[in-house]
Amino acid sequence: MPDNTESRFFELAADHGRDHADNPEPIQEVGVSIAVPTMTKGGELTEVSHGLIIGRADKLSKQLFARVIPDTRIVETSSHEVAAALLSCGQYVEIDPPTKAVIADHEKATRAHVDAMAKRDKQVEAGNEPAPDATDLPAVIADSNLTSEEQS
Amino acid sequence: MSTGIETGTGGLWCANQAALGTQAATSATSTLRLRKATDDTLKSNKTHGREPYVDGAAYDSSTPYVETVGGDVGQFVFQAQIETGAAIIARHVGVDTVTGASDPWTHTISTGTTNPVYQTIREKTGVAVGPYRAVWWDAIHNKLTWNIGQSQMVGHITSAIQCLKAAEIGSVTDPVATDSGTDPWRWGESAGAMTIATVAFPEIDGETIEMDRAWTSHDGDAIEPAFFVPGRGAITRTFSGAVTDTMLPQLLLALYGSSTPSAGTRPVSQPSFLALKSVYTRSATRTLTLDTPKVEVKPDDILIGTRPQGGLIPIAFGGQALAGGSPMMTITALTGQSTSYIT
Repeated sequence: MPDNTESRFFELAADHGRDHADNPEPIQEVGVSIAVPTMTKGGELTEVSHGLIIGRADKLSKQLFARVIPDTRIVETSSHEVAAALLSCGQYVEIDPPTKAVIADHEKATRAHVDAMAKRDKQVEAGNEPAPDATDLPAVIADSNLTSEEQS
Repeated sequence: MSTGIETGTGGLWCANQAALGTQAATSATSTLRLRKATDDTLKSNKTHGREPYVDGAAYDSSTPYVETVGGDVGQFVFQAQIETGAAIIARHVGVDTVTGASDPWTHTISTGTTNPVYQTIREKTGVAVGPYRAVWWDAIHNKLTWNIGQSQMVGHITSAIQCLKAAEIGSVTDPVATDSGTDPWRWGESAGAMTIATVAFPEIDGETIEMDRAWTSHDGDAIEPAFFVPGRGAITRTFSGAVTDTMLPQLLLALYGSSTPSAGTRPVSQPSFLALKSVYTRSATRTLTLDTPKVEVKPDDILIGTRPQGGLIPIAFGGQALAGGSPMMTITALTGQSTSYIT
């Protein structure tokens, strides 16, 4: 599938993947089903899908044609199929190759997200912040979910 | 003496395949154990045809033949749990972005051009009798129907399966995946979060979403299909509710282009679109959001009139979801799962 064209960069749109404090979350991984034209035994052309996981990596290589730039919301790929899939799903916008300053901004946002999550975890542990949405639920529902929450 | 098969026991599992033609192993980490919720069961779809001939006899003795095995093999219904509902939708859609640095992880699934992920589906029926273990593979979740509301208090997903390899006798080893133990989404968890054009309508009493890929399969030189034929699917979404003081203006808007039409106003020529959204909240870290920003509201479903016995006017509000600068549908799930549902 890799066609080793020039790298293209895609950033997760601002309205996706945000935490409770509205900080942008870094991409952990992207799963995408890529369609590849394939000839059947009978000589008919069809499409066959390949599930692809795009994980964090420091750079692309001949074997690695798509990666998530660590601690950012940016995907780099040299594959036309991956680029097309990312654009079509409406979650990503194509951007110029990110500068060091852009990546630094993403890393800063990631640190803010991590800090916000740690702060909330501490508040919940201390019992200072009951799960807000659960308290909004009707009492019967909230009560019946207690066990489920422990399990999940 | 005979013994009936124990239909109350057994299980239903779905796993992602690495590729078409490669059945997922029972140990596949992507395997989900689904909570089957109705009697609907997948079938072999082994169908017979007959060709009559003249042999001088008065009674027909047509030649039977097997037409096909596989293809449209029916459907099953499962309870949509936190771990299974969004995952099966992601496998139907074919994309899932996971964000976050720790629990909760945000899964964002949105419709575009990606293909569904090939599945291996296993079902085991019985314990002492049988058990009958069957596998449907090179399969896709061709059509998903999300159904929840006052008449279906627990979230259900109906999955209609299209497959190339049907009803194969499965391994005697059961999949290792177990039930997550988490409760399925409940209707009450949407309280205050069923919105039309960002406004919550408490009178909405249920919703249905149909996500149909409209794939078929092509029969080649064997009775099993040779390959899938990708179709052009559609997403249809409907809120059910009742005509009330707050809902009436929305209905008038769809018909007349104004929520407060004046005397003499007739239905407008422009179609009507509205954003429909629902959010199911188990806790601050476990939510499911179903967002369709542009849904065609079909005016011919809007019937407002007197009733001899009085009473409620039920209303179905919605229609086909459309693209309009954003995906037709985006599903966002906060879960404890850090890996993509596509793996």
